[in-house]
Amino acid sequence: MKDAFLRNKWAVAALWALGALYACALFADFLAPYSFKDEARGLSYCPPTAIHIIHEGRLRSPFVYGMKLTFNEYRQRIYVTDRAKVYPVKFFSSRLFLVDAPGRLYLLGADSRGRDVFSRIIYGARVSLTIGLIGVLISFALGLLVGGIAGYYGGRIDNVLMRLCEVLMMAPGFYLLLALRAAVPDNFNSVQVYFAIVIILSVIGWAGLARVVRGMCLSLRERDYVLAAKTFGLSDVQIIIRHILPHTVAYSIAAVMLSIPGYILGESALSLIGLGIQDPYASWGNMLSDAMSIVRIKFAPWILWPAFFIFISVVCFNVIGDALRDALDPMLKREANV
Amino acid sequence: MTDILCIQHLSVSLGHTRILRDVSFDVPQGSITGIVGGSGSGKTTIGLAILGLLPDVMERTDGRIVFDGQDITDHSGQQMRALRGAGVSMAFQEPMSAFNPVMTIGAQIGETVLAHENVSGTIVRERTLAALRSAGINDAQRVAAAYPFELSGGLRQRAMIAQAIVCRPKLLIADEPTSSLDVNTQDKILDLFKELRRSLGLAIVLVTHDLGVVRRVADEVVVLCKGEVAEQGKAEAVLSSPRCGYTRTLLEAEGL
Repeated sequence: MKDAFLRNKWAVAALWALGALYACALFADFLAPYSFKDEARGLSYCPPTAIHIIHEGRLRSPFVYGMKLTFNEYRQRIYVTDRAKVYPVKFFSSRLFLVDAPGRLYLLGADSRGRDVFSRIIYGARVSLTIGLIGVLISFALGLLVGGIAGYYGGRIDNVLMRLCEVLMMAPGFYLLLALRAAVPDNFNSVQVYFAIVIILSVIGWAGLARVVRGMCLSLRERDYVLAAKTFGLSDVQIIIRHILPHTVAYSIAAVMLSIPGYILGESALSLIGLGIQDPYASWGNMLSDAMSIVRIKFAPWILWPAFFIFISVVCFNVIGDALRDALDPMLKREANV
Repeated sequence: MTDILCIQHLSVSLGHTRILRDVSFDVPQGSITGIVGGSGSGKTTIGLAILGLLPDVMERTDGRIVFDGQDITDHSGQQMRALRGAGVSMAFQEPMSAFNPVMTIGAQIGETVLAHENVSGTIVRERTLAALRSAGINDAQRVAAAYPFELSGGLRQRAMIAQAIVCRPKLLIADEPTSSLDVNTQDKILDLFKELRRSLGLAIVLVTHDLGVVRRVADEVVVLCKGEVAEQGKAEAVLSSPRCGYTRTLLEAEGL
């Protein structure tokens, strides 16, 4: 199974890419040159800074020039390079790299308040990438539990639980998301909002899995070893947890991977329209709320960078999920070999 | 000798079809009782009825089941669960499918112990190995660490029996325990039953379609025909001079 997964080159690449993104999130305090709320109002929408190594015809260690805000004849903001001011890039001081104030190093440009987009993306990864993992844990615990119970007992319990799932699945996901968000008090602090979003996304997400697990359990409970476990006096809970749910693992693992993008996109959507993570805290979604106006995208296209990272992480999770499903399902593999 | 199990007028129906009709028999303590019958005679249903594990679609319409002097007919689910495995347990025909393929043999046997007794991991392990040894498995360590598919059919059946006896039940219901084994292994398993009866004082209900098996090990025999008791009595008497036509047919079919 492991070999089958590793043979899939795209999946391995995706795994490395995701690993790198999570490592960035973990070491954000070191990798990001600025804090997520480090503002420089005078450098609003400053374009990406170029790193030079040649100053007045002489080679020297990497440095950046100062930036000066001016306006052109149409009163548009123009940043010009101030070649008189030189700020050397310092590596491995308190951060991986930074320049002395008042110089600013914007690898991916600055946002409306002059905050570094690159740093905010790295800090935002903490929110955007973990919300999927935690959300998926909660909704899968719920889905496996409800699906397991419904499938194992069948009859009326099954009927009630499955109708509940259908009611949840019937409501259009995004509007349900908005409705649930509206039910959350608006005086929450950022940590509370984070967990409120995780829980809202999980509440929406578990029903689909519960239905599939329930179907698998309906057939698994007829297995001889389930009857055997009963004849040895095991309790229903033990039988569900030890003898039924482990057999749904192949499906579940792949489904977990394939459902994480939904959480990432859900958080982004909420934050984009201002209902998720609040400024000054960064998430990929709320960084994009800056990019909702076409004028800003035209003059500062770099504020779209978070979208690129959302895209990359969503694609990676999908590729890994697909590869896992192929590797875990011997039937599919056999077909592929024929 | 007192009876460990008394079945009185047991009737089970599936909708309007009656699976068992007025079945009564007793199992003396420490005896081996053979229940013989063709396919669909209801012999497996008896075993499930004793354990209180009839499928949802079936219903016990009449009769009482007395185990070890206690009427267990109206026991609650909780009481029956405590009884299963510890008082009465069951060994299945096909040990390959009766073991969970993703757990080791040892883990599954240990799980049975933990379901009934609150003991430490070391004791669970000791009990598991001891049960495997009493089931005639010499390299108990290896078998305990193995997954079901890694064992031969005979070893699997022994492991199944080990799981059934690990909590020292008084009655073992063996449902066609030898049908999926070759003749040689069959003999050894039957010897094991005799041995267990002697060493543990275990009463065994042997559900089978094979009169040869009954002849080899059973003290008592109950012949079932279409859900009714056709004939019962001492095994020798029934097999040597069958009074019922159905028993004679079975005997002739076996060429005995």
